[in-house]
Amino acid sequence: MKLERVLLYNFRQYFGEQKVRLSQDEQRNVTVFHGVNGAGKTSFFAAINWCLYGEGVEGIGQIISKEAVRRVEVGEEVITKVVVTFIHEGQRYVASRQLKGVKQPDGSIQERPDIEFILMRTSPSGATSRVANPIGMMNSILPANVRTYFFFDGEKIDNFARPEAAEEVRDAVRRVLNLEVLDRAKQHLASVAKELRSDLRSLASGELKKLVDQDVQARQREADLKKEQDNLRREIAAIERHIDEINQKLRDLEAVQALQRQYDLYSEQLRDREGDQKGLILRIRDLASQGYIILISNALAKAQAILDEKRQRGEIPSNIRQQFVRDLLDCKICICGRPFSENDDAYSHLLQLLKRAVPSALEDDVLTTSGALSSLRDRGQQLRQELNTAMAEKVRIEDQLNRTYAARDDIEQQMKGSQHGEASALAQRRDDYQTDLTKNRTELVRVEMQLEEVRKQITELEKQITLARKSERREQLVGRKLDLAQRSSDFIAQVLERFAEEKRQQIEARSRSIFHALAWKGEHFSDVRLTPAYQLEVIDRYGQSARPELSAGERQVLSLSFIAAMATVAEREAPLVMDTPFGRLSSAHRESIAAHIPDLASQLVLFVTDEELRDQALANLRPRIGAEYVLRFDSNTSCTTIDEVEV
Amino acid sequence: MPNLQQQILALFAECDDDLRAVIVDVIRFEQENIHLREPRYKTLIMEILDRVARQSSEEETHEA
Repeated sequence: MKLERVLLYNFRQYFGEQKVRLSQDEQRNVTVFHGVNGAGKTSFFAAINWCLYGEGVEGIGQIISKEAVRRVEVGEEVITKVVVTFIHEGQRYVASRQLKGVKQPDGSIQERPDIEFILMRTSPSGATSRVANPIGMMNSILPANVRTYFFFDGEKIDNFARPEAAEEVRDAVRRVLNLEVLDRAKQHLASVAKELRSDLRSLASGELKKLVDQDVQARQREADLKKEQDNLRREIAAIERHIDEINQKLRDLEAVQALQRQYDLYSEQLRDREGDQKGLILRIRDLASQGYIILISNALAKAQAILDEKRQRGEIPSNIRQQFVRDLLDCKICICGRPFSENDDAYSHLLQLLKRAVPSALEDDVLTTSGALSSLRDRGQQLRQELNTAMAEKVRIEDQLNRTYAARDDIEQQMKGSQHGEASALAQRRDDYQTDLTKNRTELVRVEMQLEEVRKQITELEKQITLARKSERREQLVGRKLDLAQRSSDFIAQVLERFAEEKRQQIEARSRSIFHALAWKGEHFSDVRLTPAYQLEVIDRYGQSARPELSAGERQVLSLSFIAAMATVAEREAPLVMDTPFGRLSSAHRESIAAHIPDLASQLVLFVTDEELRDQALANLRPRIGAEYVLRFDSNTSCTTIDEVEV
Repeated sequence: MPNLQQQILALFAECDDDLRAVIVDVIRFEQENIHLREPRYKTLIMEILDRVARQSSEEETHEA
């Protein structure tokens, strides 16, 4: 980040529009603002902070220029605006923050809360766009919590050199080197991992494996039963073929032809009856599947009784709809056509009715429920009747079947006892086949029932497996996310420690070299240390801690060395913007700092009084100054103007 | 010398692609919200994890 231009508009004592260009020259990288006390150095410094971060204006009073307020009428709007143009990583950014206020009768200004902050970006190709997340982008360029180490009041920076400042030093290192970002990432990922672990615990069950095992077993059972069914069907078909053959032979034998015709007739009747019986059994099954309606008939009756009782007690619909009563109250005409007023008894009566009436939606719900209960009870009664009829029909068909079987058996016995040897033998064999057929058919029914049962089981298992699969996929996804979150957090923790230690050592070394260059008593101080506990120490030539005896100026130099060291180690492309940097320094330190400080940052912006930068210090800085301004406060207008000094 | 952002990203060069994708996005989020004392991080981090986990799962299925 290199500051290019700053525009102030009605910002405090800067009335109207005032613009400055800041030096970006690599060699002449210093911009100096000269101003006596009260000229507006701190206001200008604050304007940059306010524009870029919306901060730094605390304690400087009203932002909007008093002169601008004076010149507008009561109720008119006044605007204050700061625009900072800067270059960052080859792209030009224009940050603009604007505040509006309305002049009040007492001359004060009512500020509007909606401060507008816009960040525009122009690429090297010239394409300009508005940055969607300006605060986020500013945090990526120079984070808000870091800017205080780059934009600072020189008189207040000795804090880092105080004995109790370890916490501040550690915070500064953490912020400038982005360790705080890494630390937050680590902690937040760990927190999310904890939540995911809890989710996973509630999902993990092994249910799917159990269901799949059951499904495998059920499908094997289905295959076995199917095989058994096929064998039985083949066996039955073979037996039926044998019986047909025997029947045909018996039909051809004259001695038993009449009996065989009788036998065929009964067999046909049996087939028809058995067909009827099969259809009836299916019908009974269908009716039985709705049997729950019969089972809950008592509960339905009870529910209906409760509704009726509540209706009688007036707790549910009174059959008077609220809307109807309201309409009567509104038009004040009785249903008989007689008008009434608010003082009449009729009006009071309708108000009473309104209390008893219920909203139409509730009434509709109650009526629907009553209707449904009644319909279910009717269906239950009908079902019971249908089941009784079907069961009676079943008994009748079974009776017919038994009688027909008995009649056919009688014929069979006659044929078996026939004097005709072949006919008798054939009848005997047919009887044996019939026994086998009955046995196999019974067995087939058993197998088919089992098959039906196992298929139902498989269908149910399929549903459960689909549900469990969904749950398991979620389980796998949660597991994967947990693994990512935990490993990310662990990895950040691991590199964070190493990176922090490496950077601490680099800052220590850099602080040492900068301090030796800046401090005039360089030989007296043998070392500068940044301890693992983040104590910034200066060691004298006797190997003792020299910090307790450091002067205010030396503490300022030590702090400046530390800040410059952090900036260079962090390799942050950011300017050093310093308000009154030399205020508390003696001439030796001023001269030394003026000579070296331009090398500590890519761009340096200094706000100085005429007293703090003069003589040799100014001479030392002069070759590096690329832009210079004087802030002139006019006591007649109470406004400051900015005059450019030719460099 | 690379800038700070590049130095930090280089720290994660050795992790696998999924881990790096998560870390880079979470760091970007934290960086953009560093001005907030308590950023609402859960939903966003969950979204990052979900996206990376699903993508990686799809890639595995595709490879298989």
